[in-house]
Amino acid sequence: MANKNSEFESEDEDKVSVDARLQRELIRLGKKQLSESLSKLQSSEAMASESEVNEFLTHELQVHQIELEMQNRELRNAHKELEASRDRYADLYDFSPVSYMIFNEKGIIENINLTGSTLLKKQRVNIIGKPFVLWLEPYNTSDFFEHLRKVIQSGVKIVDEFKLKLTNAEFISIQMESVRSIDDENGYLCQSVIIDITESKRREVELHLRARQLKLITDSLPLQVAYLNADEKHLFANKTYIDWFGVTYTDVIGKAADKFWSKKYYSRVKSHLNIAYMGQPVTFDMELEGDGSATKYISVTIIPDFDINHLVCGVIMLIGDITDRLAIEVVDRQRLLDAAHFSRLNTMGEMASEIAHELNQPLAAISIYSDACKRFIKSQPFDDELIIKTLNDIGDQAVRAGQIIKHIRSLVSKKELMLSYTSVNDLIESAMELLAVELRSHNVQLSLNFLDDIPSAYIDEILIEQVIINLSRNAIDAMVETDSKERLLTIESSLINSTEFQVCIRDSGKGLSGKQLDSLFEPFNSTKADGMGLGLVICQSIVSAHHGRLWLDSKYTNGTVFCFKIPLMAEGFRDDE
Amino acid sequence: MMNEYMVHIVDDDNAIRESLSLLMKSEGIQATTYATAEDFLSQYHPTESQCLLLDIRMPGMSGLELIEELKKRNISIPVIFITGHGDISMAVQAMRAGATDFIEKPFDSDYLIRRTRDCLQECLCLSHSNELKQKMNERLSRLTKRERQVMDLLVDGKQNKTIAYELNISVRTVELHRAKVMEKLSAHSLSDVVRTSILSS
Repeated sequence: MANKNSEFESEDEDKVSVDARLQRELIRLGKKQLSESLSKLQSSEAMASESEVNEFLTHELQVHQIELEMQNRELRNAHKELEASRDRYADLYDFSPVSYMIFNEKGIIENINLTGSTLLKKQRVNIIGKPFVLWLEPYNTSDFFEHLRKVIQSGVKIVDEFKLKLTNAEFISIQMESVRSIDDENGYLCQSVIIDITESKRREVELHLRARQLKLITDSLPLQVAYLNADEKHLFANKTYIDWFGVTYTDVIGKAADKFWSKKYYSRVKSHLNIAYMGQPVTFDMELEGDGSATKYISVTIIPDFDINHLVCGVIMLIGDITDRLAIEVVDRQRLLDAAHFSRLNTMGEMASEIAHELNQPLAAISIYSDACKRFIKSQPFDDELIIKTLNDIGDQAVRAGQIIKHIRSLVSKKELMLSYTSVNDLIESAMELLAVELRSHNVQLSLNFLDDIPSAYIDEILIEQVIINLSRNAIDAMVETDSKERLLTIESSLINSTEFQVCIRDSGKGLSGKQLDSLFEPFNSTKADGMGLGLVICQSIVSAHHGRLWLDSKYTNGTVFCFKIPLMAEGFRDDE
Repeated sequence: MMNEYMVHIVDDDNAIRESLSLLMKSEGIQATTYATAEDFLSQYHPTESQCLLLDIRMPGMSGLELIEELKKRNISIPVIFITGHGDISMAVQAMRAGATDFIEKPFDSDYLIRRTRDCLQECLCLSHSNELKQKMNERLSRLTKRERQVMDLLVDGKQNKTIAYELNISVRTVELHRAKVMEKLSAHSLSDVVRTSILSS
């Protein structure tokens, strides 16, 4: 406040000088009229007597006096109005949100408004008459004089930016917008509007920094990153993307995708791109046939970008070269197949005596049937029809034995992965045929619940059967200590939705302990004395290779339930698609 | 006449059931088949002369459990167990549980029919059994101490390897003893040895 008062004190000095000027003017006007009346008087000297003259003069002077008084009043009123209006403008000038400064040709500050003095952090008295260079950062001094020169010479509005040093530690950036004006002595002045742009400059720098950081990050990514706007034009591309296409940054930016990518490439991406533009993120894999070079595989992810109205305003494309990863997957797949094969051989070894028993059933039946036949034939006359029926029965049993052998052979033979359309329920039944003896010898009742008629699933039937056999044998083993009347193996198959099926294998054993649960899916961890501890691990690998999931369903308190779900159209083992 | 005889066949395998039934038919012996022990229990009616051909391994009530159940119900019926090949421990258990005999799959039809007939003629079965017992004891007495040890372990279902380890002799020696045991007992198979051993005791 003190500051402001001192400002107004200096204003009063101005007021006094105005009043003095006004008085001088009035006196000048009075003298002028008086001399005019005198000259009139001199011209009519002849006709007037002295008294007449005096009377006339007195009257004239009275008239003039009245006139002058009236004029004086008018002038005073006008002066008051002017004063009010001047104060108004002075207020506008001083309280304007922008700073005004007036420089003379030498760069001396002739006038400044209150905002300006606040900006420069000095009282106006300490500013007016000082050269502006006092506040300028030395390096842009010459730029300021150049600005001044241009304004005064050209008379055109000129805009420049300068940096000011307010204190040793305080710097601000300003924008100066200047025009030329004329002073009282017909000299030129430079009238400038000054805006503090420190904050916006800082933001600009920050934004620039951010953009640089973002570019640095995206450039160092092994992914190709690009941003396409709503018209499929490139707004951004990282180095990997640019290098992949073998172009420069300027070649990419602003270019539409269909103009930039090869026709073949674009046509394959287009449908996915459309999905992303409809607001749905997509990921897909693509094969790129190299011209003369090795074929490459890429994985493309397109993520829609939404504006504030939730409309898609662009998409972010992430492209990864997965050729190496696929090569590893092929190796991994081979390892899994080997491990699964090894595990099957192991299982078959363990089941050898059970399998022998199973094979014994049809063989025993054949032997009895043929003995019975012999006896019938010996006892003449024999019943032809009965003999033929019995021979047919023998044939059936031979087929049954053959099937068991075939089944075993398919399980033990090492083979390549073979995805085919398979009936899941038939597969469960087939696995159970093999387990029949084991179930019988362990007095385990079997309950098959096929809740749905599952459509054919695209899976490797040997591997999935292996999973079912493994889980079922685990279930049978888990019931060794259960009362033989209560041993129940339940296999339930169902469709979870239109794309996935689920198989659950439940035993009625005592369940797993907490400790067993913890290490359930860890390799070489077996609850069995002679177990390898690989069964579950391999089952899990097989299921996940089919893009499915194997888990322990803990919602049942008695017994253990293992479930697995697999897509009907398993895209497992990618390169076999 | 023949109609007084009735063989009950209990086996969960349809082919085994049907073929056994046919074999009995070829010999003029009436047979009824059951898929489970429970079915047999619920349909059983005592008749004059009958015999039970029983599968030892079955889902639900097993053959051995059925024998226990029959004892509980005071049903006296001769039982011939059907066992898998080489399933010595099961055979021993069956005999100890009170089975008349056991027969291994695949079957020797003649032997099965002979034993079935024995069982059906109960009185004969008993005297025959005593006669048999005498014969067996006489045969057993021919064994040396070592041979007797080997036989006991064989009847326990032990492998040659295990026997060699337990008696601290070589496998080859076990094999020799084993051959001697078979010869002295006029046994054609391990089941014959088991039979002789259990029937004599």
